Amino acid sequence: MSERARHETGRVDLLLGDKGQTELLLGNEAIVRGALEAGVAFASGYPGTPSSEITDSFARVAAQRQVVFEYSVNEKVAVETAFGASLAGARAMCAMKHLGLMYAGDPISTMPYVGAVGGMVLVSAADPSCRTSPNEQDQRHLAPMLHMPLLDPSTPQEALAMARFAFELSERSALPVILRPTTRVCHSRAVVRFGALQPPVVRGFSRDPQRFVPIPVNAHRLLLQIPARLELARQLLEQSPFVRRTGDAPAGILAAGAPAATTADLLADLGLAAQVTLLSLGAIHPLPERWLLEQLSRLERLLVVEELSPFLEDALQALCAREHLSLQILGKRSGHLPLSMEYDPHVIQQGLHDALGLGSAPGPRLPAPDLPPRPPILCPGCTHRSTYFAAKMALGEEPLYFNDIGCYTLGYGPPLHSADALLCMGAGITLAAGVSRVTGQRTVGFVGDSTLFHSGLPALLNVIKERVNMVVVILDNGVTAMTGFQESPTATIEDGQAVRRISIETAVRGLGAEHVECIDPFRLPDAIAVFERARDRSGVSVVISQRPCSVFLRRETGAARAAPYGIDHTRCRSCGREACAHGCAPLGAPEWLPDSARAHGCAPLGAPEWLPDSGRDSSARCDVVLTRGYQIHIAGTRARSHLAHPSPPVGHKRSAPHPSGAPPLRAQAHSEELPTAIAPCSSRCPLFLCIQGYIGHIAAGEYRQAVEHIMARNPLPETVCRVCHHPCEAVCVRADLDQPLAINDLKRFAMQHAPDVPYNPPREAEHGKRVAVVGAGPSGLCAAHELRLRGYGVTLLDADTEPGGLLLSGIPAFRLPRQALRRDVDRILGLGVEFRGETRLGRDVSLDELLRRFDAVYLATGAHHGLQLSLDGTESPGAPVVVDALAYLRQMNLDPEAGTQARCMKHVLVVGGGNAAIDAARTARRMGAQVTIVYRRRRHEMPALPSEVEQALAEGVELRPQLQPTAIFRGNRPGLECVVTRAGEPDPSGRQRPVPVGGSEALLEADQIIVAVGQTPDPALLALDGDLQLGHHKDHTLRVDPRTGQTTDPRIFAGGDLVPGERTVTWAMAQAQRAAWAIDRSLRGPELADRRPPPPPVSTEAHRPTALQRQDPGVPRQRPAVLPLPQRLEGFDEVVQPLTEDQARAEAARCLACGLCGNCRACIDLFGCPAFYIDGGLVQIDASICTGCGFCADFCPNGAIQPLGRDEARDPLERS
Amino acid sequence: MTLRILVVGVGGQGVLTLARILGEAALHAGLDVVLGQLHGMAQRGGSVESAVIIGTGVQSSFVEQADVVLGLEPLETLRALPRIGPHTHVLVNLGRQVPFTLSMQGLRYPDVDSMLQQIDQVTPHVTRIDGPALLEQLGQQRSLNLVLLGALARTRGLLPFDEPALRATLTRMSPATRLEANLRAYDLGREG
Repeated sequence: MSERARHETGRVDLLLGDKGQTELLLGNEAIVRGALEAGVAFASGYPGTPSSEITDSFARVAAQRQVVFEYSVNEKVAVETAFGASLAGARAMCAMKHLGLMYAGDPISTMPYVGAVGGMVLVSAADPSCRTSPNEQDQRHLAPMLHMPLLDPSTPQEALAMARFAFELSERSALPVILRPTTRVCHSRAVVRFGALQPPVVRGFSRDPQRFVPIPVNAHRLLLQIPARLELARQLLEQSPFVRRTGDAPAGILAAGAPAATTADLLADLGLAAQVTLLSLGAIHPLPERWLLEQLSRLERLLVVEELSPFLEDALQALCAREHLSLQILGKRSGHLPLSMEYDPHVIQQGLHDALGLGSAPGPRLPAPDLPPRPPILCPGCTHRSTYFAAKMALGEEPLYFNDIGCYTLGYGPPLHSADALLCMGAGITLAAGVSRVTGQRTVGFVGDSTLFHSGLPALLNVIKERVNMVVVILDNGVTAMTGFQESPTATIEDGQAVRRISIETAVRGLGAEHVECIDPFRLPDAIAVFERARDRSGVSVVISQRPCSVFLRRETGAARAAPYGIDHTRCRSCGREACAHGCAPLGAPEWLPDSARAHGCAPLGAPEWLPDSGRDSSARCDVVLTRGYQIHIAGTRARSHLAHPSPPVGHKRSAPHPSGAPPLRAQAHSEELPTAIAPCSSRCPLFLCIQGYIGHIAAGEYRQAVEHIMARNPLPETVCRVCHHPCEAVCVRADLDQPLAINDLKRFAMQHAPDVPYNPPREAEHGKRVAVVGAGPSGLCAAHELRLRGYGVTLLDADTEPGGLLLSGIPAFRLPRQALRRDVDRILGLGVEFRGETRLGRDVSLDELLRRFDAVYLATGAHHGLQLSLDGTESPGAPVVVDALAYLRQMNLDPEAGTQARCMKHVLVVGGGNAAIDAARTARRMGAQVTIVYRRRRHEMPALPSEVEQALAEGVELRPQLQPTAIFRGNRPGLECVVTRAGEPDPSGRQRPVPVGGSEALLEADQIIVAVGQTPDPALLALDGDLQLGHHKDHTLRVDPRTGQTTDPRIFAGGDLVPGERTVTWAMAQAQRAAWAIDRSLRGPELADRRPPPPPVSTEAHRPTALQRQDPGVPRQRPAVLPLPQRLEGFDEVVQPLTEDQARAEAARCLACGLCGNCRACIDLFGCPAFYIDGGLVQIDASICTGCGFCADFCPNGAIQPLGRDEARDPLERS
Repeated sequence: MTLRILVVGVGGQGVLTLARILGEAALHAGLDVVLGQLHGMAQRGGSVESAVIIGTGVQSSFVEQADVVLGLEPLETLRALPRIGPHTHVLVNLGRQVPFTLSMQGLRYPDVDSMLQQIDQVTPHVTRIDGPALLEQLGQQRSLNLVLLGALARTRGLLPFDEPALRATLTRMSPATRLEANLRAYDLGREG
């Protein structure tokens, strides 16, 4: 049952009863009654808490009392219009909140000179403790400054009496009178007794320009008349009932306004009334000095109890000084009472005790229980939330947002964050302009419709005139909502329909705005598009967001709420933090993790930080550094693909057909065919990295977060981004649309910002166990890193002087610069890894020795033993020089003198088709030789990365596929005899066997032959220890458990090229992480080890959606710049350059974010409708709060929000 | 004798209306009454409280120690704990409204039983009312405030006017279209 209902009962209005009647009235209502009893003829005002009920009451009863009433557009207009009525001999009242009086500063400063004709009463309601205002202010100071009497009521009854009296006071003193109640009186309801209503009288305007036109000559004269008028007012106040004394004791209290009532009640409750003289003062200015002096002369000391500033206290001090009255005056200045905020009984009781020694001190304030706050927020279904959401989707977090006064101010703070600064009515526009003008930034200013007409129009005109670089967003919900749904100039409700009176668009264009677009905030895709256009322009862009306030519309039209919505938890991808201590339900526990480790279901993405035993902040999730920029990017990316081609839930009334009529394209987020929820790129990455995570950060411009994210699970990022064979790119969903994402290039771009990011990974304290890692290539380095994070003492051994393994000795610097590798290595060593170079297993230390000194050993000695060509003639001396590719590369990479000899070679042949062959070929080119690669199979069967082959060809390397060497010739014509091959039957690897074509032999000239036909581990390694026989395969790789890397000796683990596997850098790293985990499991047990779950073995199934159609237009992949050819061949400078920032942002934006990570909480974290809540870790919608607007169903990136029942109620807008 | 009633809840639950009905009933019974309310943004789902002070000569609307607390929501009721004493009668609705700030931080709404136990430790006069169940019986989502009003009426001797007077006030204040529904809600609260 609501307040409004009362007036539907058909009785006489609450405020129009007869004399003698008593009613429960608000202070505000009592003021209106008082005005009616004084025969007020005109009333105006602008809504503002705590005064709004004054204008609202007038709105209701004015017509019945022949009172002319208006909601003025602003307080200045209201005051001026009311004063006009006063000049016409009519009693006029104008009501506003405290800020409004300041807004009307210009007219009120001159009004006392001209003087009121009909009584003029300004009601300005104050807000101590600024509960609904940006400040509290003591307007009493305006009274002496402006020469206006001021009254301050303590109860609703007194407010009625003062309102009635004020008109008489005004007419007799010819001064406007300020009636200044505070919130406590305005909004208290008390028993009020009525006097007699008087009819309004309008005497008419009598000409008197010498008085009414205060040009200076008149103003001088008028000013001199004011003191006498004030003196008359003082006498009237002295005789009024608004100065009262109760009690008769030497100790006195002077209390004014609401505190007077509080003090009276307190004295009664404490039984102190007889011990004190209570002076209640409602007449503030002019101060009733004679009365006061008479009272004060009977006191020994006085406590002044007033709110806000020591206005009265100082006036009394001055009065006593002038009159030589010695009286101890206590209050704020003496520190007995607070300088600000509202006074409650506790404060006053403390003051009584401390200053006057009266009563007992109140006990300490009981602390408020530590409970979650419940601040006001935008209503469910609020159109402002939708406007802000659309703006954020388009503009992102980077621009500065300036806001204004209204319901929409509640966009401040999480989750909408749409207010970086705010000041007062209309300043949403002008603050934004001020910042933009000096910084050049394109800023955004929000303003409501009522606010726009209050004071936003001059602001808007100003920014148009100055061509400010900004976006103005006008939030037009057709009503002045925050203060109680008063009418706004833009719209009115007639016959239950919202009728627009003023076209804001026309007004704005009339002011000269060129770029103006209107949106319906509930039509999200269009709204986003409009905001994007506004974002990309320069100069002033105006966006007008129009839709009637949902609450207001429902109230006025009586429409029932639409059916509420609910969550489909099979599609919702919320992490469910709370419940996820054991398992991430939406993703499902991966099956490969044995027994208890299965409980940590979020393994693929790493140990979630919210695991209770990890002691981490429960508000963080996954490896993603959860920032708003990232959330907006991920939710926005998926929401946009969802919106562009939505598959709306059945019954959703806002389902829109695809404009082109084409069947809908959906990102795989909505594909039902996906077997798992992991993004394809992640599922194919040996390290199981969350790739869309760091790409998302790059897209959001968060490069530091991208670096943190990358380094969380990839300890060799500089290396990997340059040399990884990127299986992720091969399965990228965009490969079907246009081109796959340039993932390596993006990672490299991010890593450029690594120097800004301190490397502080979470790590366990050392527990004393130690592991030896033999081999400092990628696998060994990664194992050392992982074990250090697990708290192990690690000694890293390598035969070379520096760590790096093949990264250092095998890969040339033009692919992996030394400094890049060094950065990775130093970062790992910096964790406290002890590195011992020039230490070869077998020669300098034995395996036995290691097993004695360490708790476990990880072998990662790699495969450096080059396979040889079994050809005739290889043993004889002379050219061509035959060298193994790895030996060649080692020499060229590590030995500074090697280049001299190499430059003598003019014709170099490289036999082989892998990366080592390409690296050797490109190196030889840089030595000035003519280089030919000879490969026995077809080009597309080469194991080398296609991009590497292309680079080699671009550098002038010749490629001769389908040529197989048969013999080496020395002597006059040194070279390699080869035979042509053709593709024959498939061999065990599945590739077609090359079959020599008889009679096709040819001799290729060469003075050097580099052999790159494969590598195996050093067979000598396995003969190292007599008692220790490690199981091995025929190719000298060690026999290990593929999931853990454990050898036939339980304390020895192995990985990298030493064991069977993919022979890639990332594969070697993944093995190292699995081995480290397994070592940890064996040494400390699963409970500790499983806190850092390793990457799973890569699934061989490609998780690719099949129902993906061409998106138009395709967006091409960004290509990084490369060194020009001549520069390349001069030396070993890195060939591929990093992407530029523009390129990186553009490329990252191509990512479809198709992996359903358990991270989406867009509904709560980005949108913020109060109908959402979390229960048992799942997002839910409270059906009693949901208004059924369906906006959330539009943007939910996973299409997980559905209407619950059939939607019976129509959208009221669709009716009109 | 001054009776101090505190009504607390969430914006939109009808806290102010509930206080108003009690105030009007007191006025009609010839008693002096002051109602206190601080509102303006309360409708926007924020915490709301309203005070009803019945007693001769009372001028201000502060309630430091309440004689009766009508809690339309458990969290808001607990928030009023500093003003509950051993003699306070507390009627509290068990139906919760989760503040949005909790959802955003991923935190849990405090356990209702534990919250109410804190009140039990201060006063023995606590009546729990299953608002959601009663509203479901009524078949409507509104009028929780009237259900609580009925429950208050059930407690004899708390109010300085009799139950028929309260029911008559509700009747007087209800528009014709809402009268039947209002009385049904009130009666359901009264009968428990």
